[in-house]
Amino acid sequence: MQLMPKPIPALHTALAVFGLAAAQVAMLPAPRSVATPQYAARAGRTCDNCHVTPDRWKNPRLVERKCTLSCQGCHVDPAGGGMRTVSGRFFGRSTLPMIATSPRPTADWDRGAPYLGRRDRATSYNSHLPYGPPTLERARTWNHPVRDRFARGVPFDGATNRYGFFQGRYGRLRADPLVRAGWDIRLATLWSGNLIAFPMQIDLPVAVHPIHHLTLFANTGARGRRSGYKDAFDDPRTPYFREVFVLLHELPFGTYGKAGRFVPSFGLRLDDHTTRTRRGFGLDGSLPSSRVTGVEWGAAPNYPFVQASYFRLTSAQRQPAAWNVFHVDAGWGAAVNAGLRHTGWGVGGSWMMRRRLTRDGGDTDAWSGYAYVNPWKYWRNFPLVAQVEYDYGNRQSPSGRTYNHSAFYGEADYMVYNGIEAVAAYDFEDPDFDIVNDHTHRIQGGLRVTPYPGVTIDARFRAFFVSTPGRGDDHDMFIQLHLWR
Amino acid sequence: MHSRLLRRSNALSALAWFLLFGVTLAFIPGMGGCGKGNLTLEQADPGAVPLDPDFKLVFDIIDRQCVPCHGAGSDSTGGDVPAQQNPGGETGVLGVGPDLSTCVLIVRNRFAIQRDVLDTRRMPPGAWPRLTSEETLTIQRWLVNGAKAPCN
Repeated sequence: MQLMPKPIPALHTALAVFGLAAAQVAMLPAPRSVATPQYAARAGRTCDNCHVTPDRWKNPRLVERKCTLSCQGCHVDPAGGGMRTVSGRFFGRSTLPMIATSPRPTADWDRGAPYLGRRDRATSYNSHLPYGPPTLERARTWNHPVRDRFARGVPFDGATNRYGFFQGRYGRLRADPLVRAGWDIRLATLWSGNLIAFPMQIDLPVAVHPIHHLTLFANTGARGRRSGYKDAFDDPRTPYFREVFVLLHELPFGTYGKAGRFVPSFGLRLDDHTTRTRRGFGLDGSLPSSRVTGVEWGAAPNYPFVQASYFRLTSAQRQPAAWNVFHVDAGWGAAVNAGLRHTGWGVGGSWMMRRRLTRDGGDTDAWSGYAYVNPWKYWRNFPLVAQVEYDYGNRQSPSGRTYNHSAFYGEADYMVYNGIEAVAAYDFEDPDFDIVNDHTHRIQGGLRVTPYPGVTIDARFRAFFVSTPGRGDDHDMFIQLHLWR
Repeated sequence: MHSRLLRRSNALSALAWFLLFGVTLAFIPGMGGCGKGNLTLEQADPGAVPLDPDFKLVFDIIDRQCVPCHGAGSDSTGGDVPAQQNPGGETGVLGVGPDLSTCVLIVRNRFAIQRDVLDTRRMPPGAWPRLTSEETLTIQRWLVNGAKAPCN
């Protein structure tokens, strides 16, 4: 049995950090894992999705609460996507998979797939439920065993912070580690007359948390090509820093500030980068040009949340430098994303503007409204979660003409069994209100299966309709293998 | 009795939320005039792309939209065949058609690009988003102007 270790010496830490960074460069890594807001919407139905229940529960003061369905509840980047916090990791081990490796929420005990049943050894399946520390004081002396290969050490100034994650609340996972490393690899096949197999992306994120309230985060990524990653590595624009920032966090009311390269917080951060609410608004997670360099501030006191950013842009005529995040052009922009993510429903709105020379891409303004509903919260026999987003904006063509565009995305997920979800989605785009026959529709239906933590298979039938009858309507079968840690 | 009523009430709440949600979203795509345009990009904004686009603009579009599949490793032997003589297109040994990763190969396969991207819009394939109006017009004007490129 391994007890929680004491802080490791500075030299070892420095070597570990250097080693991880060197490994990243040597492996010339991968792209971005993006968040799935549906999971957040779903997580509000029970507390033991995201952590084990404390013994003798005592609701903390609002200023100290970490309970939020905003992105920062599950992701190191408070705007969402990519490397997960200990709470996100716990959710990924306990709730998502068919076979859990952290204690499964009691509400899901009888949702096992046929012939699989209660096979995981992490869950007691009796009245002796696992428990965690109810208060900061108990967390500081919590000495239950830790077993966590992907999170090492504790910050130099102590293991537990009032505003950070409490050790012991997440089973055997390390709650607030000094160093966290992960990966996100996506491989896909597409059948549309021909069968195409290609590596979509790799992300190798590393987070270093030397002292409380401070985290240094770098996520190196590359886009894959059908012929493999080699092509991508020959391309001077990839691999590159998808995100790299300094994060000040673990502050009252879930407040944080970050500075560096990131994707502005706007709308729902979906993991499907081809969705028109993302790509159509310059937020495609796979493209370097979606990244900006700037500062972002946010807060999430329990259910409300707000995020605001100011950033500098690169010209639309050139790709941002792969490693030099300060290589920007004359343009600037700002974005605000705010709303309320309650346990059974949520609403939010976003605004974003970009100001730059016409030849660099021109000015844009965008507004977004989104919502989700989780009927499962109210009726346990109806495990469905749905979310929608509508985005509207204007942008400039190189000639200076300003035109309007819009996009819509809606998705409903029904959890058939633990680890098996039926997914239906629809998206729509009109890229230019003035232009005839340029709007498109896409519907999708399929299954998302997570047999074990860290492995997800997403199989979808997708049909695409263009507005000109007989030209371009098509369909495909898309299967993605997603390896995440 | 009380718990049965509570369960029924919860079920009704869940259904009410879901129906309200569904009805609301059904109206959203019709907002704001989407799908009502009646001009081509050529008519609405002739200056949206250069009248005689440089090959670099075309190359960037092909690189972004096509090369992820039609990259090195695809068939590099096809091309230079008028569309009407090769309606099925050139299919490479790996089944994904021509390699479009270099200037020479783009120029060689320009008829296939015109057919599949501009005329039939069957590329990008399946449910992949198609090219934008600006991208389409850029390639169209490049072709009309003789497909000039540094390699020809």
